[in-house]
Amino acid sequence: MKQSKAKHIILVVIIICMAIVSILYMRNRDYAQKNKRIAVVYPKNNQTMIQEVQEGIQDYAYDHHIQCDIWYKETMSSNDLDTLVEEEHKNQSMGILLVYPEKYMKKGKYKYGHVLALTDTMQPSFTYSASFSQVSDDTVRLPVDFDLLKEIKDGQRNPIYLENTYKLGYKSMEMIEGCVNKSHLSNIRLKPDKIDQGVLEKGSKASLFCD
Amino acid sequence: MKNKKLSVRVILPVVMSVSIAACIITSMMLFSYLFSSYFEKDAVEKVDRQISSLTQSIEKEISSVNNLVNEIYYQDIKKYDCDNAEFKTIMKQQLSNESDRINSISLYDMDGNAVWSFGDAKNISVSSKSWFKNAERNIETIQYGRRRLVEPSLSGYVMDVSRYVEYIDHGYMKPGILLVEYYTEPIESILERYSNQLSAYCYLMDESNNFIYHPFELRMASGLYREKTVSAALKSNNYVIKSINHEEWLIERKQIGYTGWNIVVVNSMSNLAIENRRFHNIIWIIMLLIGAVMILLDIEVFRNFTDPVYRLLNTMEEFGRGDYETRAKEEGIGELKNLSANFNIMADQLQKQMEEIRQNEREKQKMEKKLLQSQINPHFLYNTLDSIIWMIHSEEYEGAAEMVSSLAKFFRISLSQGKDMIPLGKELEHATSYLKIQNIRFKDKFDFHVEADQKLMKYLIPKLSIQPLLENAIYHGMEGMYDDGEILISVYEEDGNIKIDVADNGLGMTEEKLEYIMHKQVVSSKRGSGIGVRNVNERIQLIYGKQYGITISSELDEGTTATIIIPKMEETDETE
Repeated sequence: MKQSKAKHIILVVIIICMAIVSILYMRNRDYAQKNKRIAVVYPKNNQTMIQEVQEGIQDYAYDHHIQCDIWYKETMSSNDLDTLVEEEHKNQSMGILLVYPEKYMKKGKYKYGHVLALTDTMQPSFTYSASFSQVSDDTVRLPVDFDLLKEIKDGQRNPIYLENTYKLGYKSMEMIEGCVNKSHLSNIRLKPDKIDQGVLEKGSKASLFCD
Repeated sequence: MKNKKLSVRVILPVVMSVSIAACIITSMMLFSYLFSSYFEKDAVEKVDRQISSLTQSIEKEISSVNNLVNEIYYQDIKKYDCDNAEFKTIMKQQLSNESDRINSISLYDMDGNAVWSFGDAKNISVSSKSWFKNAERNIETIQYGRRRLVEPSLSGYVMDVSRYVEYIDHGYMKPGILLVEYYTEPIESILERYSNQLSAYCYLMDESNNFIYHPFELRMASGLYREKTVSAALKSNNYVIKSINHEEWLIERKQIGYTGWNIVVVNSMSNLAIENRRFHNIIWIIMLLIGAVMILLDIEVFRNFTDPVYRLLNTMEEFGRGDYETRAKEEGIGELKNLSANFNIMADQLQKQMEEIRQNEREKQKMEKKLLQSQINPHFLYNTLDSIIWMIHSEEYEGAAEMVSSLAKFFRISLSQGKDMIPLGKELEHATSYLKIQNIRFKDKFDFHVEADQKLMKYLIPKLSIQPLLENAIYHGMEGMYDDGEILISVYEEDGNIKIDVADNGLGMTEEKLEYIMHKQVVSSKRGSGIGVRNVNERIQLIYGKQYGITISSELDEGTTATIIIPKMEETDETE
């Protein structure tokens, strides 16, 4: 009888274990997003400059359910950055994205593991930066003037290279989120997109030019 | 051990528990399958309702655009000469009223040259444009062209809506193509109402499968996103569930009336299922609990069933081993209780019968003993008394007195206050009295001697055990002898038992005679006491067991020795 009871107890334990495992399994399939945060620092009073980057950052945050801690800075010292890094670490932020730090920071040596600087000129100042690689041809940034596009489309002008700041913003966010499982960030060097007659006639990049 | 494994006590609960577990698992799997099917159906229906709503809204918008184009054609172009000032006023008014939907209105002749245009239209030759050619080919229907950026502001998208018209030019009716540049913003507004996340979104494609609207257009233009559901959507008639990047996606397509456009709604199945998951979890837990409760009930039922059976089995085993007082507890369910009760009734009856049998046996033994003891031949008494009388007549008063004394002792010990067992000393005294009587009767024909270990005198012996052996020695051993006989009684201990030898130096006995004495109901003769050797042997064996009793060894012309073997038993022992 004791042996029989033991068997029943084992069976009941197995069923209870099955219940627990099922619940855990179902919970693991919970798509409710965890609290993911990234701090973004923009230059104050430079809205036109940051518009496309900002859109890219916002779209990535929307797509991946990331909460952005937004800061607008006119100036930012090394100590301010230290404080921000410390605060964001406490907030369990995945990293900090500095957008065009040249607009509010002085050149120097800012060595942080989870800080990515989206910059045109301050790459040497940061351990990790996001910028466009240099091309020999003409480059433009969004928004692009219609007449320029028309000239290219009509064959009156050579192709140009578009520095897609929307994409740079998006990729920068992707880099910070992706580094959660890695030990460190890495640099982003985005190649500008070639805009020629064929691309314009095809209309595949039309949405980039849409105001 | 093997039988125990096959016990009903183990097999039935295990089989039942396994069955319950199998039922629960099967039910869960079935439930999961049915629920998944239900979720899928529910999700499809939900998406179907959403896509129908979007389709209706877009069709309504298309219809209103068609109405606008037809109104311009039938109410204005067909009515007024294109040079008419009133016409121009009306067209400007029309454009002004519909400025949120229309960028420009233009009329081209069949060579593609502009007749007139209002708004931001360009005065260029359009005969090569697809919208122009389509309208030229299909004169009865309104044609919707490709979406393009508004020029030169790039402030949004417009769509070329064209139709074949007949216009009045200086009083002459001429064929031409009407072009309306329609802002796609109203359509985009309709589609933006849908939750446009990566897990749930919708897009709109024209007849050539170019995107009219896609929520991730900017990402696609930047190479950050690629729409992977187009081919699956176009292949399906209604909806399809497709695995893309290890995730299930519900893709549903619906065609927009009149235009041939396709609206596609894409939903992650995981995203849809999440709403119903909690209910699913609750059902799982309830079913598992039911399973656990059923197994516990199963244990309880089998315990109630098997425990009384096993207790009854134990009781029966005890009863079988000889514990006749044991009884089964009358407990259990229904018939099991009756089983115990009936066993108890049976045991009571059996015990009663056995008690009766034992009582009868005891009575029988007592009767037998009484019978054996009562076999004292009255002739012995008559002859002895005759001898006494004769001795008195012969004036042998001393001998007569001794004989009376011995006879008195003989009978006193024979009676022994009704006791069956008497001390060995008394028995020897009884034997000596007998020998004295017989010696007087036979005129000192034999001598007798007693050699006894005095330490053994306290031990008990069945009454009148030695006397029959003496009787045999006298009547079978001494009879016919011319010389004086000799009888020796020896009492000694051997192997922890008491041995009493009665030896004579008589003629001895043949094997046949020995056999006869030991196994037949022999009463030695009318002259003896009447108690046969066999009776004494049986009495000893009845009292002490088969290993005790009498053995006789005899040699012709040498003599006979009869030996009684009894255990050492003191008076305090139970002898009854």
